[in-house]
Amino acid sequence: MTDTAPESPHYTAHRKGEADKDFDAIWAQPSGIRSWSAVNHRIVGKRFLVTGFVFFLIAGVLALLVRTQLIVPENTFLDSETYNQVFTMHGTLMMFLFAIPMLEGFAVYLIPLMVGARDLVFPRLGAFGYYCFLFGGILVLSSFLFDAAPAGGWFMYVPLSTSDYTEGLSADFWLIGITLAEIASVTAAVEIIASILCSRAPGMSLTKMPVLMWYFLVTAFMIAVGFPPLIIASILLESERLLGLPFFDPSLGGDPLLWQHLFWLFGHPEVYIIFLPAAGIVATMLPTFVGKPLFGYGFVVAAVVTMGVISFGLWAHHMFATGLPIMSLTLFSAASTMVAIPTGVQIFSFIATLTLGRPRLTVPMLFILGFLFIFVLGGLTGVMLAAVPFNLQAHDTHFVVAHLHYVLIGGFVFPMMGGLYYWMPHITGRMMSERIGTWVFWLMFAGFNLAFFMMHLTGLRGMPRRIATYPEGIGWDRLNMLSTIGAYILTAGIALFIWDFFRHRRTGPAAGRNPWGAATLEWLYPPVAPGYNFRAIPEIRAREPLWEQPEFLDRPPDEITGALRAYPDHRRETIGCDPVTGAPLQILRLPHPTWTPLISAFGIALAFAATLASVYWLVGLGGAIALAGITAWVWEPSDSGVTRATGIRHGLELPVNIVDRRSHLHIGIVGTLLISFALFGSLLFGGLYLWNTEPSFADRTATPDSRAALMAAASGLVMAGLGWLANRWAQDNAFRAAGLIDLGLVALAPLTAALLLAALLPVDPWASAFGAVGWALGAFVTAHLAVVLWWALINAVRKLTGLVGPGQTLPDLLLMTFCKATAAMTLVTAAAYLAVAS
Amino acid sequence: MEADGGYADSTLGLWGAQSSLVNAGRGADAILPLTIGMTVAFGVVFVLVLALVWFAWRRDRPAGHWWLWSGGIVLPLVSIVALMAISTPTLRALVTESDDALVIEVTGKQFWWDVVYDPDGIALRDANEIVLPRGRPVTFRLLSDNVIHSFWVPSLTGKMDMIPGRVNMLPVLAEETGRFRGQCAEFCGLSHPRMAFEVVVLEPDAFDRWLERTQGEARDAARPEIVEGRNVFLDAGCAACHAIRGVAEGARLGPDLTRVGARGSLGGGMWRMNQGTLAGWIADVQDMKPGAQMPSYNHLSGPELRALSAYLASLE
Amino acid sequence: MTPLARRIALPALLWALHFIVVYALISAGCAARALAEVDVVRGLAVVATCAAAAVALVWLISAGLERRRAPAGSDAAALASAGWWTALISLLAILANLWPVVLLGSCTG
Repeated sequence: MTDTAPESPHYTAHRKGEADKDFDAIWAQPSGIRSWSAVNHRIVGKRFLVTGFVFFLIAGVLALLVRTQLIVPENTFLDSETYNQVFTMHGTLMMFLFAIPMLEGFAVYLIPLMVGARDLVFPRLGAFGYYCFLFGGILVLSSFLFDAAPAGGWFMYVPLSTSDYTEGLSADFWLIGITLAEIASVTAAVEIIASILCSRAPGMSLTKMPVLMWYFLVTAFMIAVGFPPLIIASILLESERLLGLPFFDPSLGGDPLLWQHLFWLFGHPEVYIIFLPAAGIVATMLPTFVGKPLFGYGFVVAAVVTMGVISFGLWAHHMFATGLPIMSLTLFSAASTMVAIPTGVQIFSFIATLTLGRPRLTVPMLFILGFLFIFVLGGLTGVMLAAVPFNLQAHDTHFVVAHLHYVLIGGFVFPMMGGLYYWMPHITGRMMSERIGTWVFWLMFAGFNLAFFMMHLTGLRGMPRRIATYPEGIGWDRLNMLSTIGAYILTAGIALFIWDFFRHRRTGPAAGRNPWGAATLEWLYPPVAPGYNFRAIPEIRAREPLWEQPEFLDRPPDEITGALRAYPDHRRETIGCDPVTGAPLQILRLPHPTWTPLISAFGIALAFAATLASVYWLVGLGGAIALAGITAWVWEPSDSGVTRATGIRHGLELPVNIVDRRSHLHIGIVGTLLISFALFGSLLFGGLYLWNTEPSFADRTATPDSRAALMAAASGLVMAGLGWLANRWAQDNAFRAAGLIDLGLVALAPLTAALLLAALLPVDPWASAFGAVGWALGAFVTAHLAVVLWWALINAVRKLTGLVGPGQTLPDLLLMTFCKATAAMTLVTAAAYLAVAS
Repeated sequence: MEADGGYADSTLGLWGAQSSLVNAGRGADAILPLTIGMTVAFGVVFVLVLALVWFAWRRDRPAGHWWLWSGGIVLPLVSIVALMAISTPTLRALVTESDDALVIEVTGKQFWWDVVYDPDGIALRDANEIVLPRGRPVTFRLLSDNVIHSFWVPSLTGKMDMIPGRVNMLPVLAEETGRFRGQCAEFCGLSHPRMAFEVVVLEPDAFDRWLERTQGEARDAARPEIVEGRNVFLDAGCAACHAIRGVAEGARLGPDLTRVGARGSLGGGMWRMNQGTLAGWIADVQDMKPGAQMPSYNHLSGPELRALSAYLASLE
Repeated sequence: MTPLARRIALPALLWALHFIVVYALISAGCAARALAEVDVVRGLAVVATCAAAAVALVWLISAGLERRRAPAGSDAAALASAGWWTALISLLAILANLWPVVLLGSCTG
């Protein structure tokens, strides 16, 4: 109960540690207006789920408008312009503002509960992400108010979406609003990777963690690599619209297909990002209702990993009709069919699990069966579409609309509904109605199939997609009417679900402890679990802890022995583990409620919205607010440099916030750098693509200045060296010297940027797309260097003003890694400029 | 196809005119068996999977690992190999052009089709309705000078995009005579749903005669009201965008109107071609097809519109 | 990263590397710049595939041996099983990448 290590003079635990508060008070959540400063994962997770579901409903209403317009031929319910806005926003809202945030909500809510942690490892990052999503979604939706809703389709092909063919702000609402919302996705990816790897309970090795954690882990890596191509593409297109840069203009060496490549490099992994967590939810609920563990854990892990990676090789199957050489098409066709193997392994593993016991037909189980029916059908039509000759008939028709809804609604919405019924007792403490839930299922199942099965035939009979109306009598009339009727039935099911949700909150029966008889840790406490998840972090010995470890359920949960029952510093904390072995590694301090995520997100949102409105001084203000918010966020002195007792394993003591490459913060930086390298790689891809496919333009572009490029490379190398040196001296407690080296970085970063830009001066970005991409590369590295500048400045000030004590040098370790990565990007960019110049 | 007092048929209201399940071309003919074969084979797989779910639900003995082997590895692998083995040669056949093919260059516009027969030879220009010879290879040269469109006649073959900065080739061999419908299959803006076209397949000698006939100057009859209509055409400035061989040459901004009256439909396959729809189109095109590049000519008087539409309807 | 944990990710990443190589080769051979002749493309693709498939096969065999060695139901057994299946799926997918190059004589058929 007492710590024995001496406190370092700079360890001011009183600032956030509240010595007068007991455990419950330390973990209490702020209420009223102050609840917007909460960073706890359960609250943030619920916000993602609720907001995501609201967008689902809005997008669903848009879908009903589409189907109502198409119920009869030559209908005049919606004019063309409105229809184009409606179908574009339906797709955009569903893909970006519903599906991804919804899966983030499940991840943010469930991960700490399932791995045995008291919170995610970066709670403020989670809150920040939520606010970016909220503000981005509001920005996109507000386009309706300005009669400027995007109308170019959810994938916004160019040249249609360039300023020549889409005047006004509609495309900009999409590009700017969605990019803001995407910040949530990439921050969630970093959060998920770091939390799953670094905060598992003692004893939970990688193969003892619930399979859903593997699903989320792979999904997070996919988000980190898959979202950047779209972010880059959006920035390039917005630059075209705002600045006239010719990335996609064929008359200046650009290519409309570059947009398609970048978009689908994101777009195909995106749909697997949506599918995988849902399959993970199925893999979690199924064993509960069979009473036995999932069949073939090892196979499923392998299938999830290979599916995640292989999904990146399929993107051009959305481009089979663009005239690419057939050798290329066949490569993508082959890869697209191969993904059926890991998909099949998972599906058959689920089916085989059914044989392990006597399955119970609950409402979640109904949705699992619905998933099996609908998703398998959709997957099979997907294999059909992978055959290029067939694709050339079915592409851009309602056959594809049918396929995509089968895999998305079957593969995501049905598991999501099952998951909502399954975890609702955990969230609200009450059970929803089995009877009403059965009705919800059957209405949704029947309505969905009626609506969308017909569309396979409608598409084969020649009806293209995205058409506001169609002529009568050529064979689509009855099919469309049936589809619309089905859509209304599906809507009735969802409406009934919403009604039951509100009803059960008033009169639903209270859920007892572990109401479903599940095996995973989130059910340890009777609903609703306290905000701290675990009074003491339990030790894990099995993959199904609630089934295999009787000490968990045979006593009140607060009495379960575990780590960190004592809280000598009156701080929020959990156990951190080694990313691979899972061995306890550190005591991981967690933030208390704070306003910095909201302020930072608000600043960024203000900057984005002001860009949209072209009010540039406001962009600067927003940027300043964001910078202030983020600086306040990272400024706090580190808690590292001391060790504390954990209360387990015969007096095991662990350091607090260890200064080590295995620290959750370092893993977080590595995850962030993965995203950054993917952004950088997307730009390199763009440059290579244009160099290869538009050689005459590329060769005619003015060449960069070789000398400046060489100097930039050298400067980058020196910068990496300084980062290493600052860390070395900081770890040796030579703080003044390290602080001065940091100031050196503050000077060197802008110098490197200036050298890169000097290398680019001969190149006119408006003269050719290839030149413009060269500038985009330089701009990207400059942004990275700006981060180095600010970070090094913060580190320098803190060291030189005596705020850093021995053992509190994690920021120096992290900056060293960041410098190395920035230097690598500088070197590659300089090398690219040199290669072009030769 | 020659109008004897009536107007040419259109594909509007013609059931199955735009269906990939009707195969009147070699491409569609090659694809349809693949479509049917995959539908049947995967339909069987689907039913088997459902049966397996039902069976697994009822079964008390745990499944063996061979379930995962057969369902996860063997079944997909067999399907994939079969699929690739059949579709790769089919794809190769679909994209292979004949050396002696007639080249027809089609440029996608917002929202119509600019057609040039034999662009490197006689360069006969037309719009929105394409006439083909049965049994003779044709290669479509597909272009766009604005946004991306997609050229698709499901009954003849698969689709191919028209992308600015690229030239895409689509080989076609029509195997049956008749009228077929095509439509733009890549969202291209406000009137994307109204960008269709008609394809007329004639016997080879009928096609040769048609080609010969159409090349000359516009055949406009000499009835008085027709002459008056021609004057309206010239006075209202229509020649700034529309060419009529022998009357107004050179304009390429809008469709060539030399044989407009002979086409089965108007406005990109969307309304039957007759004097009434022509008049309505000229007076109020923006209402019928919002976003079209042509302004509405509702300042023309009633008699002017009647004369003009009668003139255009007579152009065959 | 422990050798076993590495086994789960590396075969899939090997497939990704192989895919990038084949895609780059096809792009080099079939795009406007025409960096390489199709025969060269095919030859290099075959070489790359043999190398990648060999590595995947080695991993497959060693994961199989590990699976046999590890006590049933242990962490090591689960990891080895996952590693074996990853290697198998990756091997099949690597061979599939080669299909277009061997079956088609040129970029356009």
